[in-house]
Amino acid sequence: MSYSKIFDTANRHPSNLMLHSISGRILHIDFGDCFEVAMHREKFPEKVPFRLTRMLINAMEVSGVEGSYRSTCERTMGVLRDNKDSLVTMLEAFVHDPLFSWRLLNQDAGSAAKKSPQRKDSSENDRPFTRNSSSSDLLSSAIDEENEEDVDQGNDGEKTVNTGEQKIRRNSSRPSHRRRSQSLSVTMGSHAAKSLEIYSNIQSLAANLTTSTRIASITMGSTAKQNVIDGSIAGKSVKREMHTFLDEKEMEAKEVLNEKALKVIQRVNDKLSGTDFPGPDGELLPVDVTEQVELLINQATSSEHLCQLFIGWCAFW
Amino acid sequence: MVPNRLNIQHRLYYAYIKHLWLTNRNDEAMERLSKLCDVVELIRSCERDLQNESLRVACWLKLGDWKLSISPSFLSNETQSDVLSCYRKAAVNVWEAYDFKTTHYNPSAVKTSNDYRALHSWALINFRLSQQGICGANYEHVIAAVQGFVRAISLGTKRWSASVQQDMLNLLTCLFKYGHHPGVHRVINEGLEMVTLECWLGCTPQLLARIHIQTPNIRSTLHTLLIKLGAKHPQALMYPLSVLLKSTVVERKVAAESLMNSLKAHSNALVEEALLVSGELIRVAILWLELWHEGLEEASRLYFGDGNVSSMLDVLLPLHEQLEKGPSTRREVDFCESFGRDLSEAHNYIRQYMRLATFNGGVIPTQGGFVGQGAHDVQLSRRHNAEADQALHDAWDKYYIVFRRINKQIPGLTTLELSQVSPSLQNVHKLELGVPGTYRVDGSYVKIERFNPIVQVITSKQRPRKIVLLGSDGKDYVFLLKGHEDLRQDERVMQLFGLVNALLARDRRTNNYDLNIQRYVITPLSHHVGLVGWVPHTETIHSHIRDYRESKKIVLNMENREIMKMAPDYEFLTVLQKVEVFETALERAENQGRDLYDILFLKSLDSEEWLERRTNYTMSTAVMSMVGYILGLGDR
Repeated sequence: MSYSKIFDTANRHPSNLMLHSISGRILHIDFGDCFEVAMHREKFPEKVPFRLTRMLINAMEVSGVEGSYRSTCERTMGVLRDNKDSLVTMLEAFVHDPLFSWRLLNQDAGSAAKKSPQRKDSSENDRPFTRNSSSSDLLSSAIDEENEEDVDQGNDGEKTVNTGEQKIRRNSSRPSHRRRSQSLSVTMGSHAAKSLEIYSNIQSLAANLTTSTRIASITMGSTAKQNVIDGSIAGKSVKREMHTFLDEKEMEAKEVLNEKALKVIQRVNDKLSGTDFPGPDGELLPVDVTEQVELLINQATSSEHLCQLFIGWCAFW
Repeated sequence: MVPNRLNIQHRLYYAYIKHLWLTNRNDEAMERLSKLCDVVELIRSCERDLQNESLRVACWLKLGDWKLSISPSFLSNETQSDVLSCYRKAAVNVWEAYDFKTTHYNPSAVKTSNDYRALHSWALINFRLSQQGICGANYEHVIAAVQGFVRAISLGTKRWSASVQQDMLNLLTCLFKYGHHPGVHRVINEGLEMVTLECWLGCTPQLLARIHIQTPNIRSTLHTLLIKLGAKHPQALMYPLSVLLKSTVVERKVAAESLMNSLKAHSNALVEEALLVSGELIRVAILWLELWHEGLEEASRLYFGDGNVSSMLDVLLPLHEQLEKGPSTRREVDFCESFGRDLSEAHNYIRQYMRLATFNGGVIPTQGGFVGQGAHDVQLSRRHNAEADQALHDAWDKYYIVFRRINKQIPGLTTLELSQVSPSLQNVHKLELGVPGTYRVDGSYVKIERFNPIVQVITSKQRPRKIVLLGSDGKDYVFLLKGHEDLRQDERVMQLFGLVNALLARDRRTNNYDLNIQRYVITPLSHHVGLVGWVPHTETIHSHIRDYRESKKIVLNMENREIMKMAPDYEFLTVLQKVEVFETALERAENQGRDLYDILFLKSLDSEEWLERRTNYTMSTAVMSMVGYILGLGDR
């Protein structure tokens, strides 16, 4: 059993789904993203309610989603909707829990940034835990630069120190860095230039180490840069900071949180009452379970949504 | 007891009314039911008959349900009081039938599910009304809700476990939100006597999350409850409390310490073991090498990226502090030998910087520190600033050297021997402490016999460890020891899955299909380390596909290649163009996305097995699709 790649989380979406080899059951892991945080992020928002790609459908009966998939969905949804009270109560306890409520703030990137200028960096980005600039030119340059290399590299080629060195050079010539270094070098002496070099070296070394080469192999590098940004572990500490920050200024943030929590719970309520799909005039008329499941399956399988997803999500699988 | 004829007639009539309702003759049904309610009420004033009692509860409950259902938003005062009075009549009946204080219930009373439902509905409606109060809560409703909930909980049976859990959570909300009110406080304390301690085991995460609450009334209630729980089920609190002891929030930590002390009074050995095991596991989860790697990376980001020197020091100083305390394992000795000198030199530069920067009342910058602009224009402080900056640069020269060397060493971590990384874990035998996740409500659990001396490091991004515990039952318990991740949210999601499983198992529509969500043990050890139960025989879809494609000589990213071939600038296409490229690429893909289909087929020995797996696969996918949608689960 090659478990070495199993728990390689973050951005490796088909890796959050596991298949039990004996029973055939699907097992989900890693529940860091709840309450549609992923659907509301600025960049590459997830537009599908759940993964129902061609490959998953093909593995079902000859009729695909028609048959036991659909009927099980309807039964499950029926049971969930009938027990709306219990579920909402539990999720309410979840959302209002002092340990977690702060996570919701990540959704609200805009207002958080206004509230705390220091955290601008983290909250402006597409994903809550990223840092650095998220400008599209960064990503595009990443695609340009890395495409050829990773295509040729193909599969699991271990990235050597050599490519690491190449990356350093690239990194230092990345637009954002260049801008920064130019503007800074005007005001700073030689120290600063050297510091900058140290910085970019450290960041790229770390990123190299933590980025899985396999992501690059699937997505041909266009996400590799994304991962360089997301990937390094230190980025995660932004989460922790956020936490302590809230503990300090709890009162101040409470209002925003409450509002957010109410919204989240309202959304769950809508889903469980069938008022989650607005009609043509924008009004919310409850739909029955059958129709709700139909709408959800359509949403999950529509190419229009799938094609816009972040490439590392592997919508083509 | 032979039911009298009148009662049989009434029951028949009741059934008829229910039939009317189900055939959509709601108005008629409602009218007849309210008349029947009056009749049974009348009978009651003449004679007390148990048969009649249960019918009475059923009638009032149904009337309340119906009234509620025809006015989904019961905002008007009229319906409110109407529904409330129906439920109250039902509830009061049950209340009288059971003598809650002395025995569980009056043995002559027939225990029906309506009794539970009556109390539950009545409590719930009171709870809702109390939540609706525009300015401040209506404490009468809160008190009624609390009284209803505790009684409902004490009547709850397994069949109602899902809504009992709901009652528990609502009761907790009452406590946390309104517990400061003396009336509510009194009622809750009375009520807690009626609820068996075991009920609280399912809510321990919720209880412990509020451990730092300051309001005296709530705090005393909560802590008394936790101390009682700890006295009876010390095992259940061990791991969660040890997490709280590491909290960065002072109030939480202090509260946890006082609780731990109360536990020490009766299970000192257990507490010691729990602290040792969780502390040592954290040591194994993130070695010094990794700690410094992560710390230096973060610090460099804070300093060079944000110019925030003060935050940078917040990251680095604790690391230096830890280093100065000296190594305690073989690995840590090695670390000190390799990096100790460089790091202590760097530390000296940092100290020098701090001295210079704070000289003359200067402050360590939180912004722009990198640029080195001082706050003062005075000549003297400028000189000091220059010196301070120099010290900082010198420190970073050292850090950089260390970082580069660590970076090279890290990929070499593949297996760890406990004797090297945590001799104390290797030496422990026959612990009292239970294996995480084995504690049951009845108090049974599997003890930890010992730890397997070899720990495997999984070579993925966060380098989790595969760790094996030998249980006192002779079985191996395999866990994934994860660093760098806060598992407390995952723990709650598992709790939700437990509720969903209970609902699916209870409902007629789903209980025949064996639909449940596969759960696994999640035990957080600190805010960024935790244990995850290892589920054997599972592999990610990704690795299944990879293995399959390798064996078939298909390029792993075939589909994506097609996309890139057609549109190298895919990211910048319009949605319509993307759709076209995406669909064409899928069309062109060699095996038409039948990988998973083939995997299921090829790995089955016979058709029967294949069919079963395929069915399981389909149904479990369906269940998780729906539950994931409700939860808003992303990233998959």
